[in-house]
Amino acid sequence: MNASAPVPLTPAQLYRRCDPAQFGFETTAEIDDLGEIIGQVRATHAAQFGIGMRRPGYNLYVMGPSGSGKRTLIRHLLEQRSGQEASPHDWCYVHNFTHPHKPRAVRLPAGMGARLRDDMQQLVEELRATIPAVFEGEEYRHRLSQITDEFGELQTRAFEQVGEEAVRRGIVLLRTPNGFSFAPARDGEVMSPEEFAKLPPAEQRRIERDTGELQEMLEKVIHQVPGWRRERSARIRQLNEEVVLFAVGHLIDALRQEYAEFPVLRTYLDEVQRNIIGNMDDFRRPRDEVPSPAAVLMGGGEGGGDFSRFRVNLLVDHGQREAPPIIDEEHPTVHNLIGRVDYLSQFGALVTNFLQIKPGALHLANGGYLLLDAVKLLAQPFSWEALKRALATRKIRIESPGQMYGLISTGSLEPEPMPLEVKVVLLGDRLLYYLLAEYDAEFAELFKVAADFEDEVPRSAENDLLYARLVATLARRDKLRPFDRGAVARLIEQCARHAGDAEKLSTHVESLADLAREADYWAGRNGRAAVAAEDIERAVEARIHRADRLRERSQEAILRGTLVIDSEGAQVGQVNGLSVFQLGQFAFGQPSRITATTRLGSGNVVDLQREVRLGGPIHSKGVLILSAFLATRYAAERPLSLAASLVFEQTYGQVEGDSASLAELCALLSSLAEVPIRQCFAVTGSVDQFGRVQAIGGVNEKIEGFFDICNRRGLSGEQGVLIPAANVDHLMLRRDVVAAAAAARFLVHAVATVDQAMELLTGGVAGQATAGRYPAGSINGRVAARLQRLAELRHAYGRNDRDEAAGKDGNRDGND
Amino acid sequence: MTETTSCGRIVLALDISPRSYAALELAAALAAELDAELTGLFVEDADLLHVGGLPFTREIGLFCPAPRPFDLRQLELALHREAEQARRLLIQAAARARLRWSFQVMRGRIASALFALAAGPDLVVLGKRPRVGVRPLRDTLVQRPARSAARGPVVAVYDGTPSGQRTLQLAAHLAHTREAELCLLLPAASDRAFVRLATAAAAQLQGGPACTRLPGDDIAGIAAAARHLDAGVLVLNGDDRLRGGAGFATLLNEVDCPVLLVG
Repeated sequence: MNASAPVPLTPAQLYRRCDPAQFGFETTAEIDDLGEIIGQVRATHAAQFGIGMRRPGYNLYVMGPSGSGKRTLIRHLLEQRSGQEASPHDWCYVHNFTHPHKPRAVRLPAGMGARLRDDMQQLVEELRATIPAVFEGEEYRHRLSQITDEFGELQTRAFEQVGEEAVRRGIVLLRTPNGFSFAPARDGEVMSPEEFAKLPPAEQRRIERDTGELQEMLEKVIHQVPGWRRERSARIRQLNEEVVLFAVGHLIDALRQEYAEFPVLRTYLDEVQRNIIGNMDDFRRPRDEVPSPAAVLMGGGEGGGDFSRFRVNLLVDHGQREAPPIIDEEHPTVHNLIGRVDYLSQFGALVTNFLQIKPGALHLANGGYLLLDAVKLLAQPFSWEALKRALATRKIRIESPGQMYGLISTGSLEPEPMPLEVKVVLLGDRLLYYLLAEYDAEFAELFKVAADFEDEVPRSAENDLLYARLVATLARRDKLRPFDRGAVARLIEQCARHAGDAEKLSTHVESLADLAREADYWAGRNGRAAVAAEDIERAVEARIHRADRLRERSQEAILRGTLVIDSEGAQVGQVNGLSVFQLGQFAFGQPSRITATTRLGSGNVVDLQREVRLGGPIHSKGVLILSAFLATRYAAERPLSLAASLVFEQTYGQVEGDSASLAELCALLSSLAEVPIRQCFAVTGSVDQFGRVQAIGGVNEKIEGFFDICNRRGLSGEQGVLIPAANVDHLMLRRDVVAAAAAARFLVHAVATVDQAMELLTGGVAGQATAGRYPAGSINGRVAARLQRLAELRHAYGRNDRDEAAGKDGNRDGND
Repeated sequence: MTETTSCGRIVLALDISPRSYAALELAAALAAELDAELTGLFVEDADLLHVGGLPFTREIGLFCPAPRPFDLRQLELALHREAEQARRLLIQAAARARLRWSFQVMRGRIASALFALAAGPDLVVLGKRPRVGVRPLRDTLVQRPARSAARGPVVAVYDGTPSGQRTLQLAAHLAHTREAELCLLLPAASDRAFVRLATAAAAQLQGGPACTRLPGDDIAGIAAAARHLDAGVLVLNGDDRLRGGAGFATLLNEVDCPVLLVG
């Protein structure tokens, strides 16, 4: 044989065991919890940097697969960090007496928000008791009476002067239906026209003149009345203000003193005082008075008046908190993120006020940390834009989407934006991170720190021990039975299988935890006090059994001959390829029959999958590489006069990936060399233009897929799988496969070149080129000879065509 | 509870003033209690008509105080409208209390018209507002705190005479039905006379009402005492002193509450 003949892999190469003897414990009950995340040094350092960096834009994107423990690690780091920091401020909204539609945001030290709220509530209660009492007091009544009497007397005196003057002149003042009039009188009774007519003319003129003068006097007095009324009202108002100030002043002064260090509250309390004085009648109404519909509409609705404007909306209360908050928002809708203004239905109308402002996660996390799932965030309309705007402006502005995008302009509340100082941690996968970085210009500005979680860690004795402690931690956390060291070893092996690499361990903690929980269940069923390796095995088998209905149907179709897969005999141009089906969390391998036909042509290898659009681009690339390989190796100095067709037989869906390119090349070479391929083998691997075999994915599932078919048909001892040599380190095969290999009933060969593969598949010799020529009878020699013949044929056809074209019409080969 | 006195009609002098509404309420209640007919009297004031007849008089409005000429016809129409409103008020009150009623419009002066209509046993309720003097002007233009006259005490004048005893009984009955305090004004020249009257009143009422001594029995003194006590109703003997114009005018001008004159 020209190529170095590969020998079957040993059981140790097919499955790297974890030796339980390396552990110095009997069960995980004896070992400590794991206080760290395994193998995430880079991500931990990045996260620590991001958390500690108190600058705008240094928010974190933590990337890694779901279930890898990202959230646990970040929460752990945040809790460590926040424990060293002071608790953040309380935030309140209060009424804006100048612009009622723009409630004021007030920041107070933790715990003072609730105090302010209670103080204001108490103030209103006290005023509702104090103000009516003062107005009903003797002192107030006395002073009100003084003012009333003073003006009453002033006016009465003015009227009486007119009246006395009238009496002095023998004239009386009378009330008429629409006013007043003067008339001459005798003995207190008005003189009749007849009596007046009898008076001497001089007397008549005097009366007439006096009446006119009295009318002028009365006219002047009546002109003064509105002025007196205004003056009286002003005096009463001033009195009332004095009285209310007396009642309010000392109460508000006490609050001013209590909140003296907060200028915004000083201004607010001044406004409160002015508003109370200006609306004192609200406080004078009895408590049992039914509130007016208008008051109810404005959200008051308290008996006797609307006092809601004096209340405090304690939006964020950190009174009971000793460290900055760590908020994990599971449902990041735009309202859950930036808050909202609720509306109440009152008498069929929707009303609101500053008390209906509700906080979002950004409010609650302000001064601390906010954890968000990137996918959930991006799936919510407007949320991503709202978050970016808040982070960019460093303010939380509560707006509805309609306001945000200018779609509605109805009057609504515009709460004063709240300064934002928060560290946002986005948790997501890598693809999303790279998409955001590529397509969202603001993303890089706002999320400057990426913490990239490793999917796997190297398999070493140290890490095995760390995993043992992780199992111990999970067992204690989830109240599982302890795991004996055999079970721990089996779990570690399963982590390697999950990683698809015998040299690596998967960091997907959730998968490990799931398997541990399921094994605990089976241990319970088996009445064991500690989980044993058998329980892990049982859990793995049960999990596969639960998920492998489709695999069963697929294998059944092969065994019944519905899908034709040969596992014995030999066939020219036909080879068993292997493919992997991923169904949710379960993957399984299945052989596919790959056939190749060759004939005279112009060097095209036709991929029928691609022709019918059932082949993906990577698969097509693999097929094109085959053309290049054939041309380079066998027809470097003459035209590749070949037409070939490659088919995945009985496939009815998309074929993607280049892991079948080795099998396709073997089928082609078999067809060209007319050397049959042994059907007891299945082949997987990709090839390059030089015929070197390259690694592929899913090697374990592929081997197991062919093994299952062979096993059910009966293992002959000849059957086996050819895999790339580069995949040997990835082997973590099922126990039954390893056992069959150990008994030499099933073989796994690692090949590095297509020549090695062809020798194994055909039992022939590949043949090494000497001075550009392959030995006659070798596989390569037969291929080269066939291609030589095809080239000569093509040349001959070409000459005939040219001759025919010179004299008559000619026909061309349809394959050319 | 004292015995109620029997009477003829309840004659009410009324117009459309607030005082008149209170008096109508009182008169209707009395008529219902005593099963008496309610007779309303609206007087077209002779003084006012004379003013309208004089060639030089002007009317000064409250909202536009510039004097304007009087129109006698307009004045008469205004009085007719007031009379019609008063009649409607009376009918409504009578209907509510299911009373027999009558209504008359007379032209003249209030005292003479009222006493011409009311016979001996009739009770007279005075609910008209004054028309002559400074008082109407002051009542119209001077703002005062609202007072709950209807809830004030029943103030009665008791002089020990038979008609005074009837006054006392009626006042006690009113105080009882209105759940109001009864205050007696006792015209007495001396302390001894005051004690005698108070004792007699207490004996009649089987209890001790609040008594105030009046130095004399002039109407001005009674009116001043009623104002001082913030009376809800003033009950007094409608004797000859009132039939003259001066005493009656004093009652009209100086007392704010309804006045019940016992015949």
